[in-house]
Amino acid sequence: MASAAHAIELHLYCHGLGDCHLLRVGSDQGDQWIMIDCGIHTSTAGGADRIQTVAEDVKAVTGGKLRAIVGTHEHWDHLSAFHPAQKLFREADGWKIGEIWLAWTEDGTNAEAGKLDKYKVEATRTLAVAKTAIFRSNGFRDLQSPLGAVLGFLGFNGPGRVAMSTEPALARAFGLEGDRIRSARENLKALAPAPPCYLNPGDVIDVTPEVRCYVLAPPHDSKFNVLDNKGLTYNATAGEPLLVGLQNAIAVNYAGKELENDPTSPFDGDEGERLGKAAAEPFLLNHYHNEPWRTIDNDWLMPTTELALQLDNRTNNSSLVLAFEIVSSGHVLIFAADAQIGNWQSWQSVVFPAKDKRPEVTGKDLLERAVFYKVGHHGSRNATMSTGGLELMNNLEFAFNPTDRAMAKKVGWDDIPARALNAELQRRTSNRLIEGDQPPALPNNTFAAGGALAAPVEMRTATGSNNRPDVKCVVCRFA
Amino acid sequence: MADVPTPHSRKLRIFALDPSLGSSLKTYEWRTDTINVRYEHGPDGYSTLVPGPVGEYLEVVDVDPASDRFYAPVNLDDPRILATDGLEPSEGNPQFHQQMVYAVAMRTIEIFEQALGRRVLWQPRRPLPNVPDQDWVFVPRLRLYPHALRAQNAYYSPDRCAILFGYFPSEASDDSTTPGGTMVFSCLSSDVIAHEMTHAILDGAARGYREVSNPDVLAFHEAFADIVALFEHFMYPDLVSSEIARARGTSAMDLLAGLARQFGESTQRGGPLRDYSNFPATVSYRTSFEVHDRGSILVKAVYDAFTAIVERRSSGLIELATGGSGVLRPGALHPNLVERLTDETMRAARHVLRMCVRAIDYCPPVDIDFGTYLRALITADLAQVDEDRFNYRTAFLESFRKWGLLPRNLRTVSIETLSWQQPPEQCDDPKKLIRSPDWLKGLVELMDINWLDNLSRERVFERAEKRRMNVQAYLAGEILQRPEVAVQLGLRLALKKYLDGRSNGGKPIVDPEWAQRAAGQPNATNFNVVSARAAQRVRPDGSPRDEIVVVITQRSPETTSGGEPYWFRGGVTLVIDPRGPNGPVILYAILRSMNDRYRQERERTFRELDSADLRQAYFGRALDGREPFAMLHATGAADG
Repeated sequence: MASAAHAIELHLYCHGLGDCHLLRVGSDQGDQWIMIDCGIHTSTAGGADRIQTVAEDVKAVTGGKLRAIVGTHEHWDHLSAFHPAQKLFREADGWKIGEIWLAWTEDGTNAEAGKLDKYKVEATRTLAVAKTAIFRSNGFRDLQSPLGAVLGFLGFNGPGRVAMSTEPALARAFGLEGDRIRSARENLKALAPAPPCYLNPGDVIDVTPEVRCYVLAPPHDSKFNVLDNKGLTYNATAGEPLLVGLQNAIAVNYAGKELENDPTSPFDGDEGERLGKAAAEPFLLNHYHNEPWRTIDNDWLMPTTELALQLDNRTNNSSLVLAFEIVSSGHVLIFAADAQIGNWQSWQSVVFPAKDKRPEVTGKDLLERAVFYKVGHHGSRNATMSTGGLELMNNLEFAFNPTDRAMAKKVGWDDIPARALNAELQRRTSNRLIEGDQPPALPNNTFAAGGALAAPVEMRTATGSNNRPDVKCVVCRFA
Repeated sequence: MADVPTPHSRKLRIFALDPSLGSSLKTYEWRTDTINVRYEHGPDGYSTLVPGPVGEYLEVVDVDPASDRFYAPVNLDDPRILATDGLEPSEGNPQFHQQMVYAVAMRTIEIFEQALGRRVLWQPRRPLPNVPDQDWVFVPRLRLYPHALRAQNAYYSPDRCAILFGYFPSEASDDSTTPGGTMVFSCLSSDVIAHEMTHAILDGAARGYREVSNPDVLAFHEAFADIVALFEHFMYPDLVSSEIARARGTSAMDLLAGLARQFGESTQRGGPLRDYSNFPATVSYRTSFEVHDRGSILVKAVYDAFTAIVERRSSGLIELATGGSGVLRPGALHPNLVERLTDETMRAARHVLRMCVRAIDYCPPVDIDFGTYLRALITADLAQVDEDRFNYRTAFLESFRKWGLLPRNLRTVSIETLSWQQPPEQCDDPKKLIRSPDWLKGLVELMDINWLDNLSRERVFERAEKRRMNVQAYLAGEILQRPEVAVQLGLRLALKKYLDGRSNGGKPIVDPEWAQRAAGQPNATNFNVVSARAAQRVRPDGSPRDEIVVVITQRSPETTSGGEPYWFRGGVTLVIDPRGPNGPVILYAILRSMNDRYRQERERTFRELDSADLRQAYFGRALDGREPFAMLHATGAADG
């Protein structure tokens, strides 16, 4: 039972590179539990088992009754638990989910969101196929691991050998792995009886009379880099030259697509000869094939990294950002998912108009009252804006970063978590930063009660059943 | 039969400005230009260029693997093409693309050869992977791939000694699904070609600039390439004169504003001048660390110096034209005035460009920063030009001061203090270099330079390699006998030779072969003579100025506190006058001493900072070694 001494209790799971945060808000009608995300990156060994442990713990702690599940954005390390294959959170197993909260960007019926959806699917599928092409090619072997890791955010695992010898096969291949994350999202939408709530910046949800939830992002304005709106056509991909160029090149090279049907081919008509057939051409023999160390047969796959980053960027920037406010104290808890600079920049201009007893509030205001910050994107530098972002959080008392630096290093990511950011967070919170991969051994004076922290921070262990790994969990209470 | 003289150059048409951006009809007439490109010929005076075009320095190979296509090579010696100064500029004709890439690339090579006074050599290669101590193999031609990939990108690939140009449909307009006429080719942007060529040439001349030891290094590479691209624009007479004719106002800024705007819009990356009219106030040397932002400060500083110089050069003309009032009559400028102003502008551009390129020889071998580059600029100019009639050096000093790029360790800043100082004639401290150390004569004799030689580039390369190794052996011997010589050259004594990789525990591994050779010699010091070359420059008055440039480096294995291995590098660039009154003298010794603890600490701190870039964080390690320039040039699609 929630005591009157604190208004929100957080259970922050340390399962690896992935997010799962449980909020408990007390009320006269009983505890209101809200779960924000539940997922783990594919590169984590035994990830599915870990998430299972987490889900079971959530069930144990909440009794299977959740006021809402929040899905912040379409990345595997936030939504993997909702994939139908995981078989979690089902009503048949005793779960009762009240609502599903998603950003407006996940609403297929919204025109803008529809375009983003289409882009995400196309890009994901193209990346999957490109990855196979890279795998097959001799060059760029060293691209495979980091590319694979970025794809891991999209639910890919393994080398994924994809058959793509003809256009129909390619189309099917495009459908394969790319749909995993989409399946997870769609399944999540179906976990509650009512249709999902699609949230917009400026929305306010009264969780209880004591606790409000403000929606800060994702922004609608295209200048914040959620979607590149330069090409406003019905066919979303026509405005995405990088994506279309790559898709067509793959089709031309692997699926026998005719160049005339490729709108991204450089010249009209019958310019040039087929490279594959021109092997005996004397010029090529003397100036190209004679020096294999300088050929560029696979360089056209290089833009794959661009596409991967573009997709990652846009998806991250579509993150649903929530600020939970404890009305009596004015303390705010910020959950910024994986929002990157573009998304952050929009918070400043969000206004929550006054309503009933609620005064007008701005995004800037909420940041200034933040006492807790869930660190974005596992501590990457891009995902915490400094000027106008972190620098406004002068009342920060506690920060949590669900990261796994060993795993990040393993897939070749330098700098996750970013050192300068870490240092700054430590400074602002007076050394009360907990990182998922280095949970502290408590009790420990650093995490004693004080300020907004109503009780000393605790650690507990979620025990895994059936030989599944245990997962640590940080528990803290805010007043 | 009368003897026909061998032509010095051939005429080829190019797009002077990027054709893909929706230019208006107004600017159409000077979008194209005809430039002079060196006529490559044999001893009989006839052209040696073959279809491709393939010449002595370059090889254009037009394969397009993404489209599974190969486009026929153009033959620039076809009489029909010769008769019309090359093919008509056309976006839809791949042969014209080949012509343009060749023409602008050759122009860039010529700029460097004139400024540096020696033949351009490409970065040689070691064919067998992971085998140390191989001989370097000469790479005669840089390869140019005009349609290499589908991306808004173009990059120099050091491993393949090639430049890959991307192409890409521009953002679709709000109608048809097959956008017409909006294909953007980076190979048709003279900016991009010149920029990438500069990377390739600089890599061949100064490989040490790829080591990222401080925030200026990568920015410098980018800025330098942009500077060359920018000033190369000023060599297109039609372009310059049209814009000046159209100018309103009399200051150099006004005269050049139109051009700069065009250049700013010109490339897909936003052009060398980025936001000319409103250079963002947030970008400053003290706070901007992103590579392109930081680099753009250097470009702006050089450009501002240039406009000041143009101002000075043209003020006399304006006075004449306005009878002293400084106010021009309304209406178009008189064509004679336009011609003279164009002349002054182009001359100033040539000079500034030459200064900027020459300065490379007066820079240290590694760890370049903007303040050091300024010192090199001033020194290079002082060495070449006695009478600075238009106060070029002051213009640079003032501009660099305005942008906060002055060297940090000078107490007073003036032309004299900025220039590198010649080593003293005598010095009590054995650790300091003097002007004529006794090992110098032997070194110069060993180099055995025949200043009148006119060798093929391959022979030049072979000779250069031989010289390098002879100088290395000679200096190694000197250092064994007299260890202070190492310190004079900024080298660390008893520094071992290590292999490239590390052991599993991250510890550096001493090269066993070297260890064997060095056994029993505690002073044995490993260092690398990167180059030992002759430079023949011509002063404005026509007199020759011959110099010898010797570049020596060392590296020591280090680890950051986070456990990341890196090499701490240092060394010296020696500029030697082989014909001093009493024998050869060292004109300048530009040091990055390995014994400078302060520099070492600074670099360690820098390397422990975060990477500012998600691209760097995700893909940095995978691609850094292989395609450092690709990542540098990828668009901002993934930023923010």
